[in-house]
Amino acid sequence: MVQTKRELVMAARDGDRDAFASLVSLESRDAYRLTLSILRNPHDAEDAAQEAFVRAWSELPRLRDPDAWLPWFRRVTVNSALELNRRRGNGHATIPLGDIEPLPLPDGSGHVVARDQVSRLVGCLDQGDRALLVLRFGLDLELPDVAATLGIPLGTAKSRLHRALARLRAELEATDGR
Amino acid sequence: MDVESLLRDALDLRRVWGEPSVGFDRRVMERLRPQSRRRARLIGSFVGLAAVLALAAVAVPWYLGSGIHAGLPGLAASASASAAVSASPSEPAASPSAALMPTTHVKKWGLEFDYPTAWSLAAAPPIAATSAIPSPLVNSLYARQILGYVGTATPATTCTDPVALAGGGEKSGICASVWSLGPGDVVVRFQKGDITSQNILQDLPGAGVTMTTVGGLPAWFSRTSGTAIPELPMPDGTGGSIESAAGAETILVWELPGNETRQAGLYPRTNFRIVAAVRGPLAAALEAEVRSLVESINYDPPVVPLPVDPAARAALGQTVLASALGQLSPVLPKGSDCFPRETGSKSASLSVAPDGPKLSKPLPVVCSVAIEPNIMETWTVTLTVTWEAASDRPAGRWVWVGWVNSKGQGGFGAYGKSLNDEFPYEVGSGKPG
Repeated sequence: MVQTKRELVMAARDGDRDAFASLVSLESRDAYRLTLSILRNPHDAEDAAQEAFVRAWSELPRLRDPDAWLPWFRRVTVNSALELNRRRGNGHATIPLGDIEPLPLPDGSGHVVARDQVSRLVGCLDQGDRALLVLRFGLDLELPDVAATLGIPLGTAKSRLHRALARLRAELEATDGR
Repeated sequence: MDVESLLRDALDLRRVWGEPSVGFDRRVMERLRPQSRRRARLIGSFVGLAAVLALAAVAVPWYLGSGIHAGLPGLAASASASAAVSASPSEPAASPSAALMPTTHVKKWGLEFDYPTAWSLAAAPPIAATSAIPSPLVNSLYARQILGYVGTATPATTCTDPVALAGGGEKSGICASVWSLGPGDVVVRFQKGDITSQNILQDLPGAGVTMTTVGGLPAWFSRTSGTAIPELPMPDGTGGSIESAAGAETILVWELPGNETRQAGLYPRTNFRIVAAVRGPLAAALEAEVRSLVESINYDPPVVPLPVDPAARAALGQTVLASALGQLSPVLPKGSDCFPRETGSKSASLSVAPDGPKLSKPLPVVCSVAIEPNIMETWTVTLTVTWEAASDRPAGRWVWVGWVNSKGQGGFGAYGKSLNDEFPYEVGSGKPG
């Protein structure tokens, strides 16, 4: 019998492991890519994604609205990534921004180069800021949703976003000038 | 340059390359524990309460006016069941709320569970010893012991005596229930014993059997219509239904493993069997009560879950492995010559196979040890010996799988040795060398 995701969530919430297994199957790739975007390490990303599903299963009986599954699960996933990072003492990236060499020009396209450069620079931000940028620009969430997902006040989210963007702009300009 | 559009482009998750590694979904499922159901049950209770109150407003005047008494103890759940269905017509009829049924908690037969107070619980009568065999051993003469019954009726239990075989040995006796379900009856039978040697970690359930979780451990479940009580097939494919419950309309069967904290050596095998026979009217409500009973089951003593924290789990795994390997010698007397004492591989030259046979000439091998947690909240230890092909031998592999608890105890010697190639140069094997 084909079940909608809503039905799967409801069944899993009621303790149906088969339904949850279907949810794992549906969401595992996106969850992994989300944690990979934040953690930038495949092993850590997989651990965090796995932890996210384990937590989701455990906390699912508390999810009142099955339609809220996706934002709820994303929040669980992001928090799993950040917590794993804290646990392993990797609060900050180890590569200082100034040490990054300009990327080679793979196809002569300025946009592609800049995009890849931004991607590398994001990898050097601390993981909280990185998570914020991934949620805001990778998942295209509105800032209030980003703040709610990260469990921080909206004002804090705004100021952190502003600082991160300013830092990226400065680094990009500095890289262009080298 | 617009940083925000660059970020949208750079961080778009659809562009992020990568997939979880093979087996990711399985590993997630292996780590799951039973959910805390307190809130869900609480909500169910409120829903059920509201539904019952609504039903009572309609039904009480009718009941008082008609003067008819239902009089069927098995239908104690019918009010909440019917109300739940009418209050929420989109909900399946097979899952009516049974939350308002008062329940009794009991510790019995190595399990603990809640059952409707309106039902009765009865232990199966003791098996009379038929010979000079000491009574503590009597139950071992029967293929599967009947522990007792919960429900609206209590069948009698009959046992056929063990039979001495002409060539020596003995054929086990069989204990069976004398089923006779009337309208509205439900009987849940608890049994102990394993007659098929199926391993819940290795064997796939047969047709119509699905995997579920009971008391924090994996279990097999089947639901069939009619009176036949399905039996797991034997390893050789024979078997099937050997019993029928007269009067039943639906049969539910759960096969549970033993609890490793009680039986370190037997736990991957099915050890508890729960058979529920249901007869309508309102069979769905009765079935819901049975399912609630089974959902409430915990092992006594309870299952001890493995640590959730990956680092703690990995550390425990290494401790367990060391303990398990320390107990290896009675099973694999020459294993210590070959296997490393921790996860990994090492090269060795064997003159004796790990399980004992002598080799006529040295065999260069790689011996590997691995340990991983399993869904039984215990550990699977895998010992592997591989050897490459040479002019006088084909390449081969020898595998030994053991299931051990967190103290390193368990069925390390009782299982495994599957998918093996015979060692080359075994003396007396007729193989090269």
